[in-house]
Amino acid sequence: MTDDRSEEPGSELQGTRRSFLKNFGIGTAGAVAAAIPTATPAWGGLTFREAFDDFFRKHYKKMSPEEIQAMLNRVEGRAKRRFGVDISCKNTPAQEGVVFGYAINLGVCQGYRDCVSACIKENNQGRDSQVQYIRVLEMDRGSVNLEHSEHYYDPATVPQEGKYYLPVQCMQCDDPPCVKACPVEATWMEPDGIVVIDYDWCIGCRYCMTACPYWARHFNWTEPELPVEELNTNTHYLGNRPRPRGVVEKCHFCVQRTRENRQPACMEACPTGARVFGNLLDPDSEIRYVLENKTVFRLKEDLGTEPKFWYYTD
Amino acid sequence: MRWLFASAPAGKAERIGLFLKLEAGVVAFFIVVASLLSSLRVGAATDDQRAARHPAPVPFTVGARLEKLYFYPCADCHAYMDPDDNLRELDVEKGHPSKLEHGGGLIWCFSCHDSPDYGKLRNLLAEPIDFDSGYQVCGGCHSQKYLDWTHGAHGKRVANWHGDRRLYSCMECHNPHQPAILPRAPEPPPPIRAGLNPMAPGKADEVRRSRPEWEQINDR
Repeated sequence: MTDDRSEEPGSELQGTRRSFLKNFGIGTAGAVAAAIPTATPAWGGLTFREAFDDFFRKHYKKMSPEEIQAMLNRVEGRAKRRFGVDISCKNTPAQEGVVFGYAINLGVCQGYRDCVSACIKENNQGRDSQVQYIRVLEMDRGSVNLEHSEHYYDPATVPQEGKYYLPVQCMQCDDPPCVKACPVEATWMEPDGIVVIDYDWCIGCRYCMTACPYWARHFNWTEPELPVEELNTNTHYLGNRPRPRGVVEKCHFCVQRTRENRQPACMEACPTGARVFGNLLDPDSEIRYVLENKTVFRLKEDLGTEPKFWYYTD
Repeated sequence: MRWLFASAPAGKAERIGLFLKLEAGVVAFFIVVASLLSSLRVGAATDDQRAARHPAPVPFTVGARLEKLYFYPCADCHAYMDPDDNLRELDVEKGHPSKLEHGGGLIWCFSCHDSPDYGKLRNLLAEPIDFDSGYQVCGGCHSQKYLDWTHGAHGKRVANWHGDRRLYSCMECHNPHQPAILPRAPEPPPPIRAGLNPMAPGKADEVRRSRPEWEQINDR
C-alpha cells in the first residue's frame, strides 16, 4: 500500500511538472497573454477587481446609490461569466404606503403544487434541489396538526378524500425572529414588510433557520442546476438574483415582481385562485376585504411573531 | 377624616335617595331620546351597517367569453328547432353535455339560457344577458360567492395586485354544466434523498412508508 501511494502521486507530480516546464519553455509571454482572456474563473467567477470590491464593500443599508449600482453591475457581470446570459439585476425600492399581506383560501386550494413549480422557475432554483420556498402540506380534514402533515404526497390525483392542502412559505412576520437571530445583519425587514436577505452578506451560519418556527428558510448546499435557457433574467438584488452556494434563502414575496405591481409568481400560477395578495394599508384592497369579512387564522399565532400571512375558507 | 366619618351615616340615605331619583330621570330621558332617534333613523342605520360591512367593490373588468365559445351562433341549429323544456338525455355529438350535473335536478337549459333568442343567457327575472356577462347569471343563485368574487375573496385576478382590476369570469374555472372542479395529477413532490443519490421519481412515497433504517438492522 505504501509503495503504491508513494509511486502514483509521485509520477503524476513528475508528469505535471514536466509538462509545465515544457510549456514554460515554449514561450512564457505568449502563454500568459493567451491565458488571460480565456482563463477559468478564479476568485469564484470574479475578476480580481470585483473580488476586491466585494470583499471591502459596505453593508447594503450603508451604501451610496453609486456603490449599489456598482454592486448590481458586479452581479450582472458575474452572471454573464457563469451562465453566458445577460440578466438585469434591479434594486427597485419599496413603494410608499405599502405593506404586503397574503391570504390563502384553503377551501379552494386543491394541492396541485402549481405554485411550487412556478416559484422554482421564477427564483432560478435547481430543478432537483430541495430548496423550495413553498411546501404544500397535506392535512387530515378536521385537524390542523402540522406534525401529522405530509409534504411528500404524490397520489395519482389530488385532492384526496378526507384531506385538505395547506401551502406554507415565508410568513413575512412583522416581528421576525430570524432577523433577531442573524449575527451579521444579513437579513432585515424592508419598509413594505418583506423580510429579505443579502446573500453576499450572509455567512451561512443558519441561526435564522433554527429561529424560524415555519421552516421557511432553506440552506442551499449546492449550486443550482438548471438549463440556462430557462434562467429568469428579471432579477432583484434582494430577491431572485443568482445566489452563491452556502447561504440561506427564502420566499421574498417575489420582490422583483410585486414592487412593480405584478403578482407573485405563485399567485399568478395558482389555477384555483386560492391566493389573495395585496396592500394591507389600502382599505379597498382585496386582502383587506378578506381580513374584515372572512374568518381568518394564522399559523402558530401564539408565538407572537405577527405573520402577515393568513388562511381562510369560504 | 373625622368629619367624613361623622357625617356619613346621617347623609348617606338622603344622598342615595337623591341619586336614585336623578338616575331614574336620566334613564327616562335617554329612553325617550333614543326611541325618538330610532323611530327616525331605523332604516338608515341598517343601510349604513350593511354598507360598512360590504362597501362597493373596486370597479373591475371581466375577460370576454363569447370568443371562446366553440358552438356559438346557437341559432345556427336552434332556429329550426322548437324549444323542449323536458328533462332528457341530450345528444353529445351535437356539442351538448349529455346530462346536467348542476343544481341537483332543479334547473334545466332554460333556467340559464334564453329561449327565443338563443344567443343570450337569462337571469332569474328572465331578462336576456350576454355570454360575456354570464357571471351575472351565476350570481343570481350563488349570491354570497358572487359578492366574494366581486371583492376578490373568491376567484382569480389577472396579472397585477394594484391598478386595473381584471378578473376571470366564473366560467374560466367552472364548467357551468358540471361546476365541481375535477381532481387532477399534482406537480412532482420535493425530491428527497436516499443516501447521496437523488431520489428516483415516484419512489418518494415508497421510501417514506418503509421502516427507518435503524429498525431494519436486526433483520440482516
